[in-house]
Amino acid sequence: MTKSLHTFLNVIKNLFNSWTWKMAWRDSRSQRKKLVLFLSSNILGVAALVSLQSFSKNVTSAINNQAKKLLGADLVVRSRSPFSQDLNDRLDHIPGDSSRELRFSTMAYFSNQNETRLVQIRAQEGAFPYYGKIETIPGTAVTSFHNGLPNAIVEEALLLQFDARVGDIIRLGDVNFRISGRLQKIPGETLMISELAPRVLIPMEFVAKTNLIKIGSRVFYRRSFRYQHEFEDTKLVNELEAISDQSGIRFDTIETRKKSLGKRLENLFHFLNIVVLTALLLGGIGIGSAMHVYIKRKIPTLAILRCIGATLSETYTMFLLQALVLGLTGGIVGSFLGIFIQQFLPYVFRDLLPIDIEVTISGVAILNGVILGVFITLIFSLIPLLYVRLVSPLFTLRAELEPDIKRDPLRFAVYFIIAFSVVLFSLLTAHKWQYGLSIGAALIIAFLMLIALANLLMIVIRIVFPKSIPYIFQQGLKNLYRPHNQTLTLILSLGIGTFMIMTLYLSQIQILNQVKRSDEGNNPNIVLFDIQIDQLDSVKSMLETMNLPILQVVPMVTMRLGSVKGKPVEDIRLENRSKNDDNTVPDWVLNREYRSTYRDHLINSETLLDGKLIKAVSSDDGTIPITIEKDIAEDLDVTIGDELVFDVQGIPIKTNISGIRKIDWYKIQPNFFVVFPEGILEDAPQMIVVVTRVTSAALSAQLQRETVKRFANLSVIDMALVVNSIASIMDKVAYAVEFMAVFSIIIGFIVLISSINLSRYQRIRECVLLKILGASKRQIIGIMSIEYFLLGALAANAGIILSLIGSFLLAKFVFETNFSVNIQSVMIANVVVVGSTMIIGLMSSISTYKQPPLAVLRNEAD
Amino acid sequence: MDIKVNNLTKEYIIGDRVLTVLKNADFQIQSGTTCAIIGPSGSGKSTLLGLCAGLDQPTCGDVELIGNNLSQFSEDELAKFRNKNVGFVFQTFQLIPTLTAIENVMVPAELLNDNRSVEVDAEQLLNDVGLKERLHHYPLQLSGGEQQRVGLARAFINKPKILFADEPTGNLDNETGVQIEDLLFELNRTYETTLVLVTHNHELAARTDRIIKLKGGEIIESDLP
Ligand SMILES: Nc1ncnc2c1ncn2[C@@H]1O[C@H](COP(=O)(O)OP(=O)(O)O)[C@@H](O)[C@H]1O
Ligand SMILES: [Mg+2]
Repeated sequence: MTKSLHTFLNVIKNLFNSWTWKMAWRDSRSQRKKLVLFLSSNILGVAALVSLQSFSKNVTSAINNQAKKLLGADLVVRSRSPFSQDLNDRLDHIPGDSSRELRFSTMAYFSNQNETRLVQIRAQEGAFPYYGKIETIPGTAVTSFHNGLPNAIVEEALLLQFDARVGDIIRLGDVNFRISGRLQKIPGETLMISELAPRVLIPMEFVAKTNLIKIGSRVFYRRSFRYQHEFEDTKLVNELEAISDQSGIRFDTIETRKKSLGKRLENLFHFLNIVVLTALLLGGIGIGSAMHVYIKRKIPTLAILRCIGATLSETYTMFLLQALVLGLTGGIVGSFLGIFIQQFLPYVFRDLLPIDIEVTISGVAILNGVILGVFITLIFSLIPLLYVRLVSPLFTLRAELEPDIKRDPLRFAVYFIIAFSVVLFSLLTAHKWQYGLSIGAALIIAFLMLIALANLLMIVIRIVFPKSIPYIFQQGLKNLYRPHNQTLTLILSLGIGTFMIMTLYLSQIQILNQVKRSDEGNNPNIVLFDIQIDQLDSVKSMLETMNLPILQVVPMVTMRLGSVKGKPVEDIRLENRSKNDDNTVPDWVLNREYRSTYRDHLINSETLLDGKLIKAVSSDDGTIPITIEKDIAEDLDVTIGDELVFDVQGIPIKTNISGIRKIDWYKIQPNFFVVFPEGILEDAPQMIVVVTRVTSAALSAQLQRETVKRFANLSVIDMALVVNSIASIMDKVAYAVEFMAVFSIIIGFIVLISSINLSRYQRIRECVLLKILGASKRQIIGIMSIEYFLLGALAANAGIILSLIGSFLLAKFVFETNFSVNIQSVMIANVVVVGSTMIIGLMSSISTYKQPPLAVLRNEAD
Repeated sequence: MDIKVNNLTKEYIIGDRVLTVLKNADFQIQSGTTCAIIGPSGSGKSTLLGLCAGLDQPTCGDVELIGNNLSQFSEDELAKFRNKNVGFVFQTFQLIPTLTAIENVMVPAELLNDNRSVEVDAEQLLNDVGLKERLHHYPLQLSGGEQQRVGLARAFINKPKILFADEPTGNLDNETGVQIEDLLFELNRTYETTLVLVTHNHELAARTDRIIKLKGGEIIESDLP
């Protein structure tokens, strides 16, 4: 121990010794060009990290700088029901400007094209947004919007979809609007919104004429304010909250908006950080394995130096310096490359971010990059540096001796340092230490599992390969075990890349399939909603004449929570605010508008977990037994037997939880948090949903047109559209993640190229020997192909197996979907990884074949 | 006395067997004299040389070089001691492939770090061994004989008191071998070095003051001059 410490101190001392610098410089001489190749994996890892970190700083500062644009106003008040008179009065007294907006979904009918689609209407009055601008083509559409004419500004993507133009007519309810502009951008909103419900802006004064808003219609009410003078508005918001005294009203200020957006993006960047961290570690492994081969080649030199009088610490320092300079170069070049890549990130993330990102260079990120570049290189050079310690000067007299780090107890210390550093990196890049710790642990586990899998697969190959296989197969397989082989490094670096992309992809397919499945068989795939009671019969007969089945008729009654277990929700909310910890009942659960139904049975998306379902009661039974969904029960912290009081349009109804249901949310159909028994709500104001099934897109379009024509206030949701929207949203997120994950793949291939380069000498010798022994060019290329084929297949399948495990766990515990193996993607991954490994491998090996034998004899020290 | 070897034994444990490679070697070599260690292949010559030079630890016994018992030194002290007092010539030349001829020669002097003009000395020595024209060539660009000349120059750069040579001509053809021998003995005289030479070439051994014969790890003959 004291000896190691002593050596360590001497190493530090020798860092300031001119001889070590001189020797390090001279020693690296012949390899410098190659070192650049090996370095590129580190460079890319650092670049990925720097680009993301620097970019995320840009995002943060954009949020801060453009905070006002995010909201478009100083204060936005929104609710699912009209504001109370008191609240409106108080709001009218806020000095400054104000605007009103109603939002609701409805069917739009493009009369020129004879097409319909569900859209989100935003009926506006006033000059909102006060900060930032709504962007339209032509730009005049905004300025002339409130000219008293029925103008509509329509989502550009929607116009493109129906090939509609400015000047065409779009009918909403009973009013024909003239499309006056294509909506490109609303400050503070991403394009993601437009996927599910394309936005259509109309002037407020036409809303009534459309006749679209009926009892039970889901309308969002908004008022936006620009203060006359800037001021601290916490007190105002508190006062407004007190006045509103009504649940379900939200107050958004610039501060709250900033916070909620920040939190959402934090999650995204948190995830991307893991991806980038993996790239960085792979880069480290790449450079570490290059150092490994490099130092192993230097063993004779080390022995000579030790023999003629260099101390251990001097030789150690000599290589440490080389690693240091290498890391520094990697760090600096990587940082600059990172900044270059950063310039493209705003485009990559365009659809995910609601603001314009101005790219500025973060000095801290660069410094981080340089430090990490050095640190990673040093950490991963520690294993190869163990050799230096084990080289004895005696090797000069006995060339056959070789140091064996597998017997060096110090290697455990090195493994520990590496593991510790991985956790340290994760801690440094994560926002919370718990995250950092779990990411670090997960990364280490993933790497270890991959190594285990790779080893297992190699054993399997050895067993499965019969002894009698053709020679080139045998030779190709043997090549994986040649001296200085980097098979494991390669499997690790190619495998991790495969693992990440596959996990992402598999999870994506998993979710989509789950959603799609509900569109199969006899499952409902069309939902008609906002049906008024008096319309129900005509809707039914319309479906009948079209030969469409009426699968479900579901009444919906809107209500709010009045009290939970005897405690009024206002009290709970107040308590929450003072407690301010994570164990409180979330506000949204208390505030939300519950749309509940009543029926005497479970539907196929539900299972009763606990308690029982009371089918019907009569209205004078007192407390009403209801069933409640399990997650919301957990959020409310209630269980069977607890009392909930609902406020059904002014009338309090006392209920008692009799059962707890689980819902399969992937079955897209009307699902309810709260279900009442029959016999209570029949007379309450309600809206009805009818569920049916169409067998073709054409039929769906026909149904939508027919519905809009006959019942202007109805909305139609087509499952196919939902599936497409979800797919499109997931694609956008996946694109950004994949962009960062691709770094790992590229690093994998760089490691492949540099490993081929590192083993060049052996490869050339093998080649020449085979040539001398009479192997044809085809045989030699065959052997190489087999080698790369096996390598690619090992890496791909180790990665795939791990990703199957990963996506299984994700499916089970995060997405709560059924897991099934997607054979197709497994095959594609195999083809892609194996194919590119073979192409890159053969291309970088081809020069070894061309070496004339004589050059080989001369080039011994290559 | 420059070299005192007392009861030196080296054993290797292979599995559960003890392999005695060198057994109770006991001899002394006087300052400025030359001595050859001869014996068949595998008789323990290199082992003995390695122990004498402090490259390896004996199982028992000890070695004293110019009044210093090697066992008292730490590994680093040994390195420094070798650097200052001991030169080496190897059968396989053992030049550092990434360094030019002159750089190879300079390494031991640079390690001494005593600020003398290393380059002039190295150039002089390379001149002495007849490689004036090849100062900046890399080992790969030199023939075996030339490489060994560089090896000789390197061995003498720090004017060592003792020189160990392990079959210095073993990898060379006869003619070149003889030239290297001549050079070795000439330099040895110039620098008044104590020379310990391992060889199985009896002609070469005959040129030394004294011969130690090894067989199966034991000294079977040690004729004093
Ligand atoms: N590290 C070792 N482990 C086991 N046996 C060894 C080791 N080093 C040398 N030997 C054995 O010691 C004997 C003497 O070797 P060596 O000194 O190299 O002989 P010489 O130089 O005379 O040819 C040989 O039989 C050799 O196999
Ligand atoms: Mg020998």
